[in-house]
Amino acid sequence: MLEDEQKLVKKAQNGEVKAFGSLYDHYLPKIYRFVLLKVSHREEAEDLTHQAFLKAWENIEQYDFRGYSFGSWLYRIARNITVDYYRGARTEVSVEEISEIYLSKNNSMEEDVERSMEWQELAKSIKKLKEIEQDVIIMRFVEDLPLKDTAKAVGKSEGAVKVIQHRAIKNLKKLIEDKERNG
Amino acid sequence: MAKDLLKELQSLRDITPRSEYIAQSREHILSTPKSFYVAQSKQFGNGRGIVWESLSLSLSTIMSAAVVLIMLGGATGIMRVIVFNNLTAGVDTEGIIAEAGAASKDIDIQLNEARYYNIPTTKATATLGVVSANVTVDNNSKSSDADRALKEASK
Repeated sequence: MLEDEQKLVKKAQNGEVKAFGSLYDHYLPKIYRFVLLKVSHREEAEDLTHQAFLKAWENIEQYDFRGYSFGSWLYRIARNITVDYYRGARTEVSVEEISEIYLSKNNSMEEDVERSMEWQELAKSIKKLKEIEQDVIIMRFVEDLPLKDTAKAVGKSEGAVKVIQHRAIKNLKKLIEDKERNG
Repeated sequence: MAKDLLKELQSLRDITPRSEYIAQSREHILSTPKSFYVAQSKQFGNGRGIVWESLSLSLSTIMSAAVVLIMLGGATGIMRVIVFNNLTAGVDTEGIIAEAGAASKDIDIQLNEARYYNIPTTKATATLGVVSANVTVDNNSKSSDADRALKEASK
């Protein structure tokens, strides 16, 4: 969680643009990754992430701390936006977009190719999981979001999230093993 | 395998959005003005506390109720004029009053007749008692006593 996050939120709720800017800088990469792994399309992910932050800024006074981080509230907004996106026009999944982003980082060519292949496979496997399992896997294992905040973001109890994350990891492992076995 | 998988998942953290996108999106969001309603609710929420909020809510409820009552009162008055004017249009009111008067006279006559026949039961019983007591007397005097008793009872 961001240091003095609640102070920043209060300031943002009072209309301080700079405070919301700090929250945006901290959470943008996390929310973007979450959305990208869900939709597997860079431009769509950028658009949906933008929508999520815009919605958060317009409705920031509705956020009430009650022990949950601002991040969990943002993930909830992003999750709802991706659900709406899938209800509407679902575009063709192109996981290559993810590797393209990774390739843009400063790595050696060989490293890049190897990593990009691994990422493609991993992203494809994640996408084969149930919606809720995808959410929990990304929030808990990619972003290290605390159990309490994950539960709040997905609208489940902490116990239920524990069960889901256990099942999600098991299913993901099986999917990867199956893929390796079948070549 | 599980450890490798967790490492793999964590490596996805290296994914970052494009810097051009960040700059554009950030500028657009932060330049979006908050709506008037949001600004108002924030002012109430932060500046004056829950007492002011509840007070303003009660005040607005009372005002709304008053407006509704005034509207209903006005509507009733207007409706009364419209409805009664429309209903009585083309009706012979004098004829109706005369007919009602005649009907009430008939009712009065019938009530008088009913009163005439309505001899109180107690008086009738007493009269019958007197009649039955005088049964042993001669037939001529018995009938005259009974007639007298009935006349008294009917007064």
